[in-house]
Amino acid sequence: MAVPVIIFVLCALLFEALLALFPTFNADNLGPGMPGLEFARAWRPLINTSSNSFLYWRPDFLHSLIATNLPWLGQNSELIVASALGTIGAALLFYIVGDPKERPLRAALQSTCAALVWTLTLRTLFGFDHVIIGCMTWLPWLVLGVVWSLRRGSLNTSSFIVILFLTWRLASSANQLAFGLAILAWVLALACCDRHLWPTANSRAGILMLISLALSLLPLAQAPYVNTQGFPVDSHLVSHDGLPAMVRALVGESPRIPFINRLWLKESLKDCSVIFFALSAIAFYLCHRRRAVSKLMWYALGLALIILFDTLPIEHVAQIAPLAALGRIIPGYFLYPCAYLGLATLPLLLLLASPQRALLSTICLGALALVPPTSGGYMQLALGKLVDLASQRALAEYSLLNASEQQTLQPVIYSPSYTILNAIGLWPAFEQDRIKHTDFMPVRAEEVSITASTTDPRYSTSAMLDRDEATRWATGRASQHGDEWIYIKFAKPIQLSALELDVAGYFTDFPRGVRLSALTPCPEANLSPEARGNVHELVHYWPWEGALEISKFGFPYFQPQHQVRIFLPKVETIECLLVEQTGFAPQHDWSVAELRLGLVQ
Amino acid sequence: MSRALRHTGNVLLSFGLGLSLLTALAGSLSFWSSEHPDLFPAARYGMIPGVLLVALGLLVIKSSDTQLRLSAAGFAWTLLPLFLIDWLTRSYNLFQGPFIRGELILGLFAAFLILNARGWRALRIFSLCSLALLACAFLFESQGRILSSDDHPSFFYRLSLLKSQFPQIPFYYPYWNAGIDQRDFFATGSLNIFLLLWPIIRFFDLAHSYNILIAITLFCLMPVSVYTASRISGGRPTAALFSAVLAICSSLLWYRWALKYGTMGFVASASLIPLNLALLNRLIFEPQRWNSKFTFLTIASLCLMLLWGPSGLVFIPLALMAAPKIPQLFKLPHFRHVALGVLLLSLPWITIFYSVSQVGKFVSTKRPSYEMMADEKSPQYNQGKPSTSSDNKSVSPRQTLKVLRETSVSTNPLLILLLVPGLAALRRRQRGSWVATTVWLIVLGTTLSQVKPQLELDRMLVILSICSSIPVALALQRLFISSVYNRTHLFAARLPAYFALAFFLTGPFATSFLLRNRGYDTYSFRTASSEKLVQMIRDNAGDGRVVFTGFVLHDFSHGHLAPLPLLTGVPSVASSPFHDQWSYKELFPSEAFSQGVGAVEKLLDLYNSTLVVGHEERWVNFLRENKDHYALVGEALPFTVFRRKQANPSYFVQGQGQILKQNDNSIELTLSSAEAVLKFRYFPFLRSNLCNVQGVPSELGFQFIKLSACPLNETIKIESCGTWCRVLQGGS
Repeated sequence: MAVPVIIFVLCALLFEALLALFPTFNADNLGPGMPGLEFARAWRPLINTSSNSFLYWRPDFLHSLIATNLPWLGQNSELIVASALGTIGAALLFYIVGDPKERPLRAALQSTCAALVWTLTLRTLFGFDHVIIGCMTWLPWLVLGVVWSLRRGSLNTSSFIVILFLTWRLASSANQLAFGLAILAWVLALACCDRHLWPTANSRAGILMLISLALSLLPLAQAPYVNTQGFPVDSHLVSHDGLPAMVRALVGESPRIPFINRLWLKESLKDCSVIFFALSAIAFYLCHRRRAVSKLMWYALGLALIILFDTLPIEHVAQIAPLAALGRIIPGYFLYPCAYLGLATLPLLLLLASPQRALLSTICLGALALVPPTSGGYMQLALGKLVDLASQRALAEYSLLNASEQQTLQPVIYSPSYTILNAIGLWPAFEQDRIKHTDFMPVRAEEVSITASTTDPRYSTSAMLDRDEATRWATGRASQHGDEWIYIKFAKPIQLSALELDVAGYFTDFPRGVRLSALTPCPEANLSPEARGNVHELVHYWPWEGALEISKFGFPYFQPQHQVRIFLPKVETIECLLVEQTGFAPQHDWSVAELRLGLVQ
Repeated sequence: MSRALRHTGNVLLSFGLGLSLLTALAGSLSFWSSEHPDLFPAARYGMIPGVLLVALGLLVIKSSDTQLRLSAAGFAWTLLPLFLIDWLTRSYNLFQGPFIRGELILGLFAAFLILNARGWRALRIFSLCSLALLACAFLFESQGRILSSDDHPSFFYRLSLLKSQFPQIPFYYPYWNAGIDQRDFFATGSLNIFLLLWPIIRFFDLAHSYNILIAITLFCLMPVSVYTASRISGGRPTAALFSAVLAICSSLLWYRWALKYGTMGFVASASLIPLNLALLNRLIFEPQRWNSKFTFLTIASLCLMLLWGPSGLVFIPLALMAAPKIPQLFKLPHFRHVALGVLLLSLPWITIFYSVSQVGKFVSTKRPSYEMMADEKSPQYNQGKPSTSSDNKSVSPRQTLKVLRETSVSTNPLLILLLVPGLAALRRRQRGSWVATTVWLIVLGTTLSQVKPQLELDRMLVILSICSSIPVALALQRLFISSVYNRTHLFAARLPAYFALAFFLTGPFATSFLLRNRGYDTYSFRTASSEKLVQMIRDNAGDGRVVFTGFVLHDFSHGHLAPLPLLTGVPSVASSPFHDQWSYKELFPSEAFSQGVGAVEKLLDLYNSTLVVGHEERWVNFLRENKDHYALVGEALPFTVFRRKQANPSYFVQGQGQILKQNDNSIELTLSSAEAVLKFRYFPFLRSNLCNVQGVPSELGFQFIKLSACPLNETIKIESCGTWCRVLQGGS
């Protein structure tokens, strides 16, 4: 046993050291500790860039302690340490489950290879992701501990101590996600053992299982809530998912408004989930041919299938699929996309289930080459590129601020409003007062001249200025194609903060994307793109999510989409303004019942 | 003929009956979601497939010469069409869709695994964990804040007074409205919880333990009661656990009455009804199986249950069926013991109740239902007129069906669809009384509730859903066992068991959703704003009273104002601190407002008001505009507090003296004149240790207390005469 262990440890350390040399690995962003009680300070706000979500996370103190003594690992030292521990645990688990009585050295090498492939898969998909690494570090260890204890036949004190210690480690590193992982660990462990070894409610193993699961629940009581109380009920932070009502958790915390962008998630994960399903199907087929389909292989196929059901179908169907349902009933799992944990666990499961780990490892390596990063490109190993660093606009802008500005902005950026700041930039955080205190005033007809892209006699542009919400201008095409515009020329330059295109009662006729541009020089009437002269884009909201607003606690949010108040990043002196509708809506016109100018008080 | 074919007829028949019941209750129905076109625009069309299946089933039974039996599996098949139609997407559903279908699908997988593995232990552990889950869900939602929805503040208030005054009830309470007759302990049933949980109430601060009392009632008393009832009715431990889980996941309406409306007297009594039904069934119909340890349990349980009066209505069918057997039953010692014990313990308080609480007047009065009152957005409130529903004394079949349908949507589908086979699964001797009770509760809840809406008899349907958990659990157990040991090994034969178990497993999660306040029906906790109001009153009231202008209903953290004097220590005046006003009624007559500040000041003087609180816009504007008379203290939304600048606080209209103390049940004072008129409300039952007590008219619409022949400078105490004194006086 000593030789394999030495092999595992050395390989894991070497591999992680290599990874540490690649600074391009994506890392999510852990904010500073929270003020208040001692235990609360350990919890830190985390912008999880892989999933584009926000949660509170507590770094594991043991990983931090080890990393302190290994500064040469660089800025992600804690995560590298954790990752190495997970790799060693996975290697040991593969070794033990593989029953290496014959050819132990070969088994050790196979297990090492499999564990490294698993780690490489995680890095490729998620990079240095606090949540994934935290969850996966001690999962294989707990499975290993349970398998080892059950196979010994009887549970003595040392077994209790080992399993409870490993559960505690899992709880410390996986935090509020530990409960589901503990259940998974026990399920995997039981699948690795013969049925007669399974615990029953009265047996010592059964009691141990219940204590272990109860222990894993403790972080839930400690994890801070993601506070969304300041946001109105009809507001939103992420794109509307098309569902008739907001999905809420049945057990555990559920935010007042959603802040996980399900549409973005599905777009990011669907290719991965198809590839992994194909991989699982191939592995299943290979095992079936050898008449060696184990329970674990069924579980792997099942997991791949439920991940697929979560990422491929429309949201109405995805929400009644098993993964979404599990997220609603397992405490702590509603605030983090379950598909990510599923994708992280699936390779482990496949490698555990397959007797031909070497072959499967090779297949996995090949499959990784096919995993497309969001920045595009096939046939390349996209290291840690599920989320392109360049897409983290808010973090990039934040890193350029000075210390005092960062200090001011810290609570806003490390909040569920991060998704908004990432979409449109940091300026709403700086312009809070202006956004709150902008007055929207109607315009007098003599102060402006308005022309539009369409001249339907039913809908005159003067309807925008008549102070009558029953009348409107509209394109008249009953659809939006992205080529509609309104050109506003002011009698004299104005200091513009925002523009309101009130749809009044025509709730569905809001623009699907809107761009405001200033033209120099100002033509009398905007006739064609060639006649526009110099076009300076002021702001572009695509897609249009709704009017920007600031909550009473100072966090930006979007109002409903039919509230069309377009804020500029800064007050601009405008003589003429081009308003372009840049989205697509096959069944809804673009209407403006009243035009109002947003002026600072 | 094969066994499967012999059973097919019964399955078809039962499925047809279940389908007919489902479509009758669903009314018009569409596939998957109500956004889709109707499959059947009315129930009469939807029932056609069900009727056809019944006919087919009967044909098969006749041709195969099989005995006609109701099949739980057949009824359980109805869960599949229920899943597929728009039932789960209707509002105010216990299983609130559309996404609950995901949990049901997950439950189906789990059911497959559990039943295939014969995981009875797993089901038992799940049942116990469900109780813990729901209790934790409620306590987590509270986050240490006290429940404050609708009547919960009033219930808290009553428990607080019972803590200090029991058994000397009713009594005179000077802290509300210049003195009130505090007697509604009997009518509201608050005594049952007080007596049941007395140790906790006695030894712990009620403000911190109130939520615990509620949690114990909902998640301990009720499931234990149902579990015990199920065991007494012949259920095995597993079935009894099933019934406990079904009971706590019985209906959205249960939690509406318990958490949103705060009718805890009803809740405690309803929790005990299944136990009493089971005990009395055994006592009357199976006396040979009586155990002496049941005697004390029956006496205690019955007495506590009857503390909420209408609970007795549930037992009318049982009483009628038992009537012919009374002579024989009286020969049995345990029957005599139970009857005597209940009579001895209940008669005293029933006597007090009927004489003091004016029950007859309440029953005959024209008042609307509680639910109408609880909906403060009701136009009746805005228009200031009583509900028209109270005038309707006729029974409308349409209304009956409407009530039945609305209640069904909010009820656990297992309790609806498996009730019939569940009743068939009961022991023969008990079956008749359970069936009669079921029918009677349906009649009470749907039909008689229209005649007397003020009795809120629609709650009987909620009681029915809880009681149904016992027979339904028996049906479930039979269904699971027969599917596991099914010799045909047909997957299709096991499907109904999987469906039923899926719904059973999903029930606690669906209920947790309600308890976490994520459904359509929400309940409230005390807010920081209310705490701020309490502090402002405490700090600024001085020696006088605080008067709430306008009409106050659910403005104190969405509940009544009742506990305010307990929290502030300041006597208070408001139009409706409890749930006793049936229409909008201001504290002051409307002409006072129109006559201006002088008239208002006069009334405030009569109340000895030092603080005035407004929450309606016209009153707040009035108080703000008259700056010479009222100084703004602060806001605790929705209330704005003002201090009276020209108040000259005194509790004396005539005479001189000093109010030494206002206790929970008395007033202590000294006089420096032989006679005095006090700004306290007079009641004929008031007595004084040293003076003569009379009433004199006042401009406030009630009589003030007049003391005469009083010694000077001695401590005079005014309080209610004793309980039996009041009874002998005819409740006055």
